[in-house]
Amino acid sequence: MSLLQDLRFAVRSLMKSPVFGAVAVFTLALGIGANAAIFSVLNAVLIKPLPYADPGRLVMVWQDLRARGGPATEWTGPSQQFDWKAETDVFENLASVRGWNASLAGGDLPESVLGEQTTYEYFDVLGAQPALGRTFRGADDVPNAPRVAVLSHALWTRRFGGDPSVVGRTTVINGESHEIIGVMPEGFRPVVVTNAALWRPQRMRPVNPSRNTAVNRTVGRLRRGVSLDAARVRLAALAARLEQAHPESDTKKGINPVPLQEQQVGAMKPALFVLQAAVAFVLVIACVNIANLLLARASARIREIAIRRALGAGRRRIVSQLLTESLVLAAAGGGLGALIAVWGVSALKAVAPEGTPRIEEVGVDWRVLAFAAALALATGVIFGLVPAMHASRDEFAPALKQGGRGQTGDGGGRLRRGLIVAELALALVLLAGGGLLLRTFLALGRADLGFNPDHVVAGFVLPPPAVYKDNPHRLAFYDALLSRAAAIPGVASAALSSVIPLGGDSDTSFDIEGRPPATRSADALIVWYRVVSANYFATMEIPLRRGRLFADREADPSLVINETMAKRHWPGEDPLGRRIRFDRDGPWFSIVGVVADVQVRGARGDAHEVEAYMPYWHNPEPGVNIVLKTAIDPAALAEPLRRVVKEVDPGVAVAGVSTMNGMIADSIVDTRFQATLVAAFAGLALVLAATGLYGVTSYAVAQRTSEIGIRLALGAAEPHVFRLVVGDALRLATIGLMAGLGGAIAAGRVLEKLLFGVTETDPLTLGLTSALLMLVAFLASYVPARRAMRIDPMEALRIE
Amino acid sequence: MAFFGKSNPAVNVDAADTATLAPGMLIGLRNIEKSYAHGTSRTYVLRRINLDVKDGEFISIMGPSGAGKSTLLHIIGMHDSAWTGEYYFLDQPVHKLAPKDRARLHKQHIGFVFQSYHLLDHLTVYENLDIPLSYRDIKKAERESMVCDVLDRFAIVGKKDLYPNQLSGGQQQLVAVARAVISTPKLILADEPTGNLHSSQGKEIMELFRKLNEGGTTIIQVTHSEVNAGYGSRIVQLRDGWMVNE
Ligand SMILES: Nc1ncnc2c1ncn2[C@@H]1O[C@H](COP(=O)(O)OP(=O)(O)O)[C@@H](O)[C@H]1O
Ligand SMILES: [Mg+2]
Repeated sequence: MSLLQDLRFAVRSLMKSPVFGAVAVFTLALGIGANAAIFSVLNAVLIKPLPYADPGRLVMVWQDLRARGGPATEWTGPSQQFDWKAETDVFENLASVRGWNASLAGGDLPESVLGEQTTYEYFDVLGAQPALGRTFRGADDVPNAPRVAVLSHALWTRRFGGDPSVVGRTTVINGESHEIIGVMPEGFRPVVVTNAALWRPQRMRPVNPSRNTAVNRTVGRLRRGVSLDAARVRLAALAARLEQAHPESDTKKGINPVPLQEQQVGAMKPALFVLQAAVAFVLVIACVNIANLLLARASARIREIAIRRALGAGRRRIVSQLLTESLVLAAAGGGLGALIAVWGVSALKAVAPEGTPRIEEVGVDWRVLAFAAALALATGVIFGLVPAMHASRDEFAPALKQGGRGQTGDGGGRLRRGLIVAELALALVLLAGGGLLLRTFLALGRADLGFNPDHVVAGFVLPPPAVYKDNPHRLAFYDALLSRAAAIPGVASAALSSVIPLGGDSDTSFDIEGRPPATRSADALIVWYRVVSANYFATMEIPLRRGRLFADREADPSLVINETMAKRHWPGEDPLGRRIRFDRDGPWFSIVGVVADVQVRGARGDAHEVEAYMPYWHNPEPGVNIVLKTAIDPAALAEPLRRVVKEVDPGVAVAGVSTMNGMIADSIVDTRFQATLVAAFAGLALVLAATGLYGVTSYAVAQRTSEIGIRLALGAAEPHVFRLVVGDALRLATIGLMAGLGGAIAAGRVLEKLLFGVTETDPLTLGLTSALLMLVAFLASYVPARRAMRIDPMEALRIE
Repeated sequence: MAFFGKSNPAVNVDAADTATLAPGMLIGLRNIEKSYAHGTSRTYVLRRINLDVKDGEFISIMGPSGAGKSTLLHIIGMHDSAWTGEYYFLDQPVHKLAPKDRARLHKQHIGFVFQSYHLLDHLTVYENLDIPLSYRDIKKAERESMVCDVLDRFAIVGKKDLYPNQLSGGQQQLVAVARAVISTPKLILADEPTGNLHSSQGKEIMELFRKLNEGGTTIIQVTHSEVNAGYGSRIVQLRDGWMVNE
């Protein structure tokens, strides 16, 4: 009964001061909305189960090469698929997947799309059913089985008009005829190539499979009741058995199962937690502002409260009434916050980097709404309790005596000022964090990767292996492509390379002439190799350090290596003239030159890998990047490049045509996203803190009107009054600044993993953000200070 | 007493305003009017005030409540600039001065005493005395000696670290007067300085004023008390904004 009365009072008293109510509700809604929006990402990415049947049992399974100094998550080959799948007390089913560059013939230009080539178990492992037709069977997945393909829902609607009769039809992909056997439903989520548009079986040879290739990624479904730990134990035993059976290839190879969810989104955890922490700060600041508003209001109402108490209202009664008021505010703020969250989520999805895992699943669901409601309730209690306790203190007699002349106990003022200091400190922490991330982004964009990306455009071309079966055919294709590309108007030079920076990589083992060859794969020497045209180095401006580059078409098998390879394998010696081979039946390649290292994996990647370049005419790999150095805007050459490839072979498409600078920008888009968001939240925090400071300063000016009048009468000039008010605000800001700097340095340590090219105590960032904070504090106190300057001493002193 | 240049008609209008006071005069008010707008109508608070004050005079302004006494005092004190007419202070036409110059003049020559003392609650006696000096670009060491000097003269050295609310009303007004004279003004304006005091305390303040006046300080006070007015050399009567029998 009294609750209902409190509620009625609360609504009525809020209606009486609509500006206060609106400001409070909107501030709170911003805080709650931002938190709910980020939480919706956290929810979709980290909390919501993956969209597969019983997803908790899905694991990625890797070769663990840590014992031989390799990675913990090495890709797999055919032998692993067969050996591991046979371990039926661990896996209910197992499938291997690799990417697929598919050129779809027909239309004006052939279309290049990405797909997955899988073992037939793929869809069964995931528990996915087709929308139309069927998925793969064992018989589709043997050597020389007729080619079949399954389409994604998107490709089916876009390219086949959503026609159900496509099932059973054939279509030409990479020069080969494929029968379309099925269409997947709209929500199906591929495991490896997240935007895969079609699938076909790998048709691996089950007898004598290669034991050392690493071309696949493997996904398994654990048998029901088998825990991850149990699986690890049994797989360790399997690895030991395999090591005994195949010592030359399987020595020191472990098996590493990783839960699929962890695998797909684990890398996003730190960034997401940082973002969630950032918006939490925003909410705290919003709450402080509202608490301050409520404190000011409670001060203004101190007489009303004193009268109520004098009439016999107990302290609990007063607290409960004021608390009801803040809870009403919180409920309104939470509701509006949910709306802001819905809007924020769509904004987030619009600016999120392409390929962010699970971003399409982000939305406001019941979990997000529950989160927003819980926040509203918690904040309502927290920001309401402090002023309520304060206003209901026991000495109410003075308030009565003073005749309610807007006099507050100084305690309220001190509390409010303390809260403002905390706000400013939090805002500075966010600003510094945003600043550090922005500097990271700038450093990444400017990092020297060992080549010149300006005016370079590249695309990947895969002459279909079914058509271009052998080296002479591929060579002829590449030669024709290269000469036509070089002739495109605006092209300064055209080159080929099987590997370009930020575009994937491949390694192989090798022997050095005159040194004993490895007998086990665990001891093999590994090199990341690229097959290039002679002018690749000039095109990319990769500097030659020693020796020479390739002469065009030179007949002797020659090799250019990078500095790291020279240092690693010929420390203190001259590598020039040394010979290595990649294939025990193949030719020896002479090292003729040493070039500078290139950071193929981008600025954050390990800088120094062992790398070797060989001429493409000695080993024309299936698939090559064509790289154009242009005299004009490189983006303008994407279309002519596609035309040239079509002229060479109308069935071949160019995949992923992109400028080198575009690729670099794409490779750091995550950082940009994080930096943008944190900076945006920091801006929001700063605005809120500035509003808070403005409020406190205005209030102080109002309270000090007569003091300022006296000072003016005693000869204070306008600048004195201005300094009095602004100085007071800046004093608060300085205390906030000191506390904030401490917090910023602590937060920098948390951010460390996300930073690049900047230390967490970067003086420039801390200096600039501190200056910004002080500037904003100045601006926030400027308006009240101007008002103080205009105080009329006569008016101020007329109180008597 | 005024000088009118006639040689150049173009200068004529200005020349009238360059009139200064005769020697020995401190203040000249000519046709001062002050009004407040209420919507479309206008209420006059002061009408055609003409007043000359000699340097070293002690004037008491009297009149019923609402007559415009405080308003007049604030105009003379240069807190108020929204009036019409001419106001000469020493050699300066106050009505023509830019706000900055007016403030400088006010700072240099005028001290103020209020009915309710208006000491700043959160400052000690010492700090209250220091305020006017802090607005006058005086070096710290010099300020210290000036404050100590005044504390001495007013016999309040023992109170220098107390806060206003630890003093009696009379003591507070004593401090307020000390604060008004600390920057050695030519003119002290006092708006009912004894209004809140017992008669014995009021007498003490009046004796103080007399001493200051004898030392050469011009004093204009607002008072309701005939006894207090007796300390002065002249009485100015205000009624409904008009000066009567002056
Ligand atoms: N801001 C104002 N607006 C309108 N009238 C005012 C204002 N301030 C003062 N007055 C009026 O001016 C008149 C003179 O006031 P004041 O100079 O304070 O009188 P006194 O000091 O003689 O008692 C009074 O009638 C008062 O109501
Ligand atoms: Mg008065």
